[in-house]
Amino acid sequence: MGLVVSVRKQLKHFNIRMSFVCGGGELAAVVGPSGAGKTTLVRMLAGLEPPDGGTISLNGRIWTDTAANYNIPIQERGVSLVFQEFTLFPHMNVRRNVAFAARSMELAEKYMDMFGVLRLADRKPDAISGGERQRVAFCQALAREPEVLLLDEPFSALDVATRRNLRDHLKELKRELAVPILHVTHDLEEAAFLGDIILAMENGCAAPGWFDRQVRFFTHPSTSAMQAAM
Amino acid sequence: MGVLGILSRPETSGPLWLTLRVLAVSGTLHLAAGLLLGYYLTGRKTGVRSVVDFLVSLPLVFPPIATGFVLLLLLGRNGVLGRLLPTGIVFSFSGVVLASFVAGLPLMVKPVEAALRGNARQLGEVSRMLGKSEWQTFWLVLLPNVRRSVASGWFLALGRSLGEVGITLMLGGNIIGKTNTLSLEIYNAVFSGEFDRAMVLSGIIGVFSLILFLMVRRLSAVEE
Repeated sequence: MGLVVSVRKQLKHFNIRMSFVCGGGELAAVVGPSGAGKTTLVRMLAGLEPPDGGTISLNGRIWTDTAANYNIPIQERGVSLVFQEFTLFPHMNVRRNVAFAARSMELAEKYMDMFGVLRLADRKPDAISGGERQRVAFCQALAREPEVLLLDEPFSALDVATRRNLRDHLKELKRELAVPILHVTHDLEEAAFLGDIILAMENGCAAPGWFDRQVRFFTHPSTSAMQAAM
Repeated sequence: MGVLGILSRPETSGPLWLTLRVLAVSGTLHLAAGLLLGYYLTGRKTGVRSVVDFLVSLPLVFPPIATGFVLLLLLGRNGVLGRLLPTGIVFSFSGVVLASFVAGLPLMVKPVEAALRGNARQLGEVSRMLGKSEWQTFWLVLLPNVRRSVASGWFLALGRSLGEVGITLMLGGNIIGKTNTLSLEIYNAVFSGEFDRAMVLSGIIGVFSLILFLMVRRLSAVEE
């Protein structure tokens, strides 16, 4: 049960071939070098790009089965995706953005309160800071009550303090939400802190040793000495 | 004869009212078709989409008189499409509206398409993921975010329709009192040596064009 994925897709320079399971309440941290196919994997799960082959299912319900030519529409997947860039609707204020897909205004306001943006409710996205916009994006994604939460480097454009704060929030929310969460990140510390599962990708495929190699590289005495000397 | 005298003459006021009626109808059609086609063309590339894109863009690069001739062949009483129509289009008000519509369409569709392909595309993805249908996404998210491009495109299309001659000549026939729009009437006035009247007609078009230009410029400034 949970999110069961086995997909392949031909990209320009390599094929994506990934299989994994992510249970409810688990967070799979997707790590790997730039251009490894992480974002494409997330977009396939969201239904924004079709895989060339394979299946995707959630709790036994098939979302995609290329052999049966079956692919449920994006709207029916119950997926929320928080992008790297700020993607709030610029013509709506914060309240309308969060309530856009919420079952009730109470739910929208609950998340706005939780993420400390309730006081900004009447402001438009261009009148709040980058960190605040990303908090609102989280509220919007959660107010939909997603069955799967996808996060595509949502903290990468934020300062360290905001990033830490949001990271802590996510850690707390993880169990409460009890849905599979896929979190694409370049920050290995963040991946280790949040991830129940580490999905390392290299050239579109699982690279089980990649994470350990990177961690060893960054913690190796000579690397630390080099970084200190710079 | 003064400007007011020239304006009050039926051979001047007639084309003016005809042009306003044509602009009212073709402008409405531009809005509806421009939005739908602009949205349609942002979809995944297919053979049908490429053909639609080609046909919409054609009046930008193909000479208007030749475009009008092709349409005349297709829509004439014995044309491939004309035979299927219950009433004749050519040499009538409908023909003039069609000419105006075809000429202005690419100037409406292309800015809308470009705007929808930009940031609006990702906003559309977010909306669909948040459970909204294609139509809800279009009306609630995409349209409000490209409204300035829609307005700019619409004013440009109106301007192009206002000055349209070649296609109108072929499809409308420049029938005095029936299909002679302002632009065609300038030609008629010059041809019959009425330079004063041609000047007044040109002045009317000039004022319209200036207003449209100022509207487009204002929209561009707001966008910046």
